[in-house]
Amino acid sequence: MIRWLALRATLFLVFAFLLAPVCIVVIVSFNGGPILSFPPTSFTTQWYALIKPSFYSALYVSLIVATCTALLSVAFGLPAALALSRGRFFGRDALNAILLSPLVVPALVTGVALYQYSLSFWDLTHIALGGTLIGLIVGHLTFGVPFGIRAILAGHANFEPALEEAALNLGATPLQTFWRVTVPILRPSIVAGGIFAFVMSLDDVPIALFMGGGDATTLPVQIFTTVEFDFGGDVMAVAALIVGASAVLMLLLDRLIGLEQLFGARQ
Amino acid sequence: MSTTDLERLPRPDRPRRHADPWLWILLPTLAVFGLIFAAPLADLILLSFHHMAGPAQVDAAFTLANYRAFVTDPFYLEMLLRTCGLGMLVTLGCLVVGYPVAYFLARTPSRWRGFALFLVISPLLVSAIVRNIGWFPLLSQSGAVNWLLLKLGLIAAPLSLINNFTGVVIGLIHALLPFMILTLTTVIQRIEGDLEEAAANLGAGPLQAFWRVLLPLSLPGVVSGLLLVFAMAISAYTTPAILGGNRVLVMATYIAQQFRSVLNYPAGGTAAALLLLFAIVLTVLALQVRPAGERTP
Amino acid sequence: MIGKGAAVSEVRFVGVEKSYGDQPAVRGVDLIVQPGEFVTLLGPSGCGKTTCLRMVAGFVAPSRGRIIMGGRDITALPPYRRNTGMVFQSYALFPHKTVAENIAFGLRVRRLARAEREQRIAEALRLVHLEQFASRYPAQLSGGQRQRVALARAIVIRPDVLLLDEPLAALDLKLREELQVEIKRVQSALKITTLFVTHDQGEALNMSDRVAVMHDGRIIQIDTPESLYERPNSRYVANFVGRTNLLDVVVREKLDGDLIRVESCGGSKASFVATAGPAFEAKPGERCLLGGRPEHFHFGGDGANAVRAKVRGVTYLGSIRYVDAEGPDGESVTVQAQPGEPLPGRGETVTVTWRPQACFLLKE
Repeated sequence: MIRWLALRATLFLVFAFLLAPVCIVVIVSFNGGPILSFPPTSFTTQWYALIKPSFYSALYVSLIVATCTALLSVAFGLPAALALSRGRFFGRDALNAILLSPLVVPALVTGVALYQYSLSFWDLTHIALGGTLIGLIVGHLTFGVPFGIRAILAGHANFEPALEEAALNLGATPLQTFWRVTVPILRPSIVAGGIFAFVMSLDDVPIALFMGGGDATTLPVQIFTTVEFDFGGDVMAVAALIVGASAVLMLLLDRLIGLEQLFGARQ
Repeated sequence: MSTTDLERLPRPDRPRRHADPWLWILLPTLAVFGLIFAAPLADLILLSFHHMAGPAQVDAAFTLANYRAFVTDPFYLEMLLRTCGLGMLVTLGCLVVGYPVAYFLARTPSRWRGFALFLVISPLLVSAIVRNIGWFPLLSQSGAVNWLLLKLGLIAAPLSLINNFTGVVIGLIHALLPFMILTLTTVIQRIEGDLEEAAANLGAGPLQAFWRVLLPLSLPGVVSGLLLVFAMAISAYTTPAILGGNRVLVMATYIAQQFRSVLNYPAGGTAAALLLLFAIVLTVLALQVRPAGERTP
Repeated sequence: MIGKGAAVSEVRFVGVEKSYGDQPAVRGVDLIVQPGEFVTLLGPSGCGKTTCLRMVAGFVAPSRGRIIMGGRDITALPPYRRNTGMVFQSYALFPHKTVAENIAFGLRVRRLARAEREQRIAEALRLVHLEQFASRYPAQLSGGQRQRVALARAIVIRPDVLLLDEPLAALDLKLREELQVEIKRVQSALKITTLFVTHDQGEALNMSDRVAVMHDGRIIQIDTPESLYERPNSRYVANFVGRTNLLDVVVREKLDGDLIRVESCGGSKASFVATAGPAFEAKPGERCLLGGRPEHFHFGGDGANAVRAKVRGVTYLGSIRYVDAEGPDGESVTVQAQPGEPLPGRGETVTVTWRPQACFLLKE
């Protein structure tokens, strides 16, 4: 009994620790006094009105990049995952490990490598990657595609091959079988992979910091570079809005897929 | 793909064995991988074998001097040590804070389990940058934590908890705790609850049962989790950059500094190549010690 | 000998109930297991038998009632202070410890001196015939061997009571029979109070001094295996333990001794004579069930009770052959054919007879 009580108390403290920085953002965004002082002295909504337009354009960039990253990650991830789980060719396990290896590489390393690469690429072709939306999407595909592959591989592990055989037996062509049987059955893992790529793209700082810039600045990078120089209430208001949006997204995901399942694929 | 395509393929050694058509389907993804990931990394590694010719300029001559500096120059050694110390503190913190929670999640029949798990995972879905800036109103001189400690009379003057090493440790523990908890939960779940009951039935109290049964059995999984969290802690950039207030120089912040302001690309490239090496070694080690049946990267 | 010095205790359930939320699992169990007695809790899954066992071990706290062991109320004691020896269905052997270390576990946490520990481990290993496996790991053992290790680990601590939770469920039939004998041998050698949980009636009848049949959280009959088989007290027990013919009948009159004349409820109005058990009381006109085991039913002959029945099929179990037939009122009558007896063909009409002493009456 005492053991469970002690455990309860510990749990409470840990959860408080986990949620504190998220909750405080919302509280202080309404603080009329000095933004970093606690407790808040007065209530205000002025910070929300003071959010600079650059944050809105950064949000727009982030959403475009995340959407393209999610779609392309699945588009490249699905065939690769199918090939890796169904193919019987030499070096399959090695290719599997190689294609998933970007998840092991620190994002910062990928970021600076891509930055360096885009400079060389410019020297060679005079095509700009850095500072463009394409560059950002390319950068985010480095982790998006492996996430897509991994999610679909995990989903495919439970795939019942007899279902496809049944479809073929009933007269469906291989292409019909693919679209009407294979894809629908794998849909939950395809969706999970896409959502994962989307969320990670929205979250990323190191890669977008080095691949972006100018008109191609994502929201996290905009916040990052802002707080490097000054820390104002408008940033807190932006952060609070993100917390709100994340909460809605989270509840939706939990309803639709189940968070445990989504993150189970990540482990 | 038609049969004529197949016939044009180079014949493998073994007769009557065509290349698996799945290999062709894999090809576009492999090409993308090579173009946007392998080539840039190779480029970066090559970079680390050159000198800086001037700001943002790279000399053509091959050199090992960058790496030599890393093992001889006290500046770099101190930075490596600081990075390593940060990783160890964060990992230890995550273990101590995370184990009880993981035990609860793995064993409780409570209907609150789902909610608790939701709470553990939820910070992961809130942008890392938001969680980071959330620490400022909490940890700054006039922030909530100092206010509370002063009110309780536990301290006489505000503590510096942010824009320094302490802030980075706190922020990283927070960022990586969910991963640690999820890993440990899986590990403990895999140990049959029967074994703990058997230990109790044979007369072992909770502490003895933990020490003699739970801990030894969870050790491989725990070590694997520790290595992964350590790898993530030393590769993280956003948190040390923001919570360290540009004052905490670890590998990650050094790399970014070289590329963003100092413009010594080879020096940054060398540090990045080393960080890459550490991350790979740690991950491979983690996969090695991981119990069989859980070997997906 | 391990048995020396082993405390042999009585185990007593006093009004024990357990519910999970508003879901009752055990609805009031009173049971006394005598010192040294082997009692089996028999029932289908979900009947509450495992919950009862786990309450003795201390893994489940009763919602109401008490558990008394050796005269001491142990209801509030944590599992590790109870000195019960449990064999888990999954065996729960520590995978990181050898056989000897597994057996040593309970002795180590009791801080026994090394010499005595070693000696007791050796004895336990000898008792279960695993001397040469002491340094193996559980993963290197067969299912039957693991079972023996689990048994040795449970008895080596000289428990007040041995608790067996479906210990044979994971084994194949042949091993199961072997280990039934083995467990029974160890149990009687040590004269250890034993509570055994199973859903297998054969196991229960073969091993126990007494069997408690559980249904829906209650003990509905507790008796020696013979009484349980020959005199079940309800349709449930009659059907759960062995095969039974049950006919719906109405009591007509008392005859000499404890014989009673009854009449079929169906249209045939066939008349039978049956033995009323000591606990059976019924007035004429009351409805009840006439039951009898297939091995007491015969083809032809001149038993006092007879029905004409149409053969529906034969179940062939090797040494045993059951003939399934349909009586005049649509009732099912199963006859166990005698060895070497020619079997009637399907659709054939036969006369089935049985003696009044070979059947029993019970209330619904």
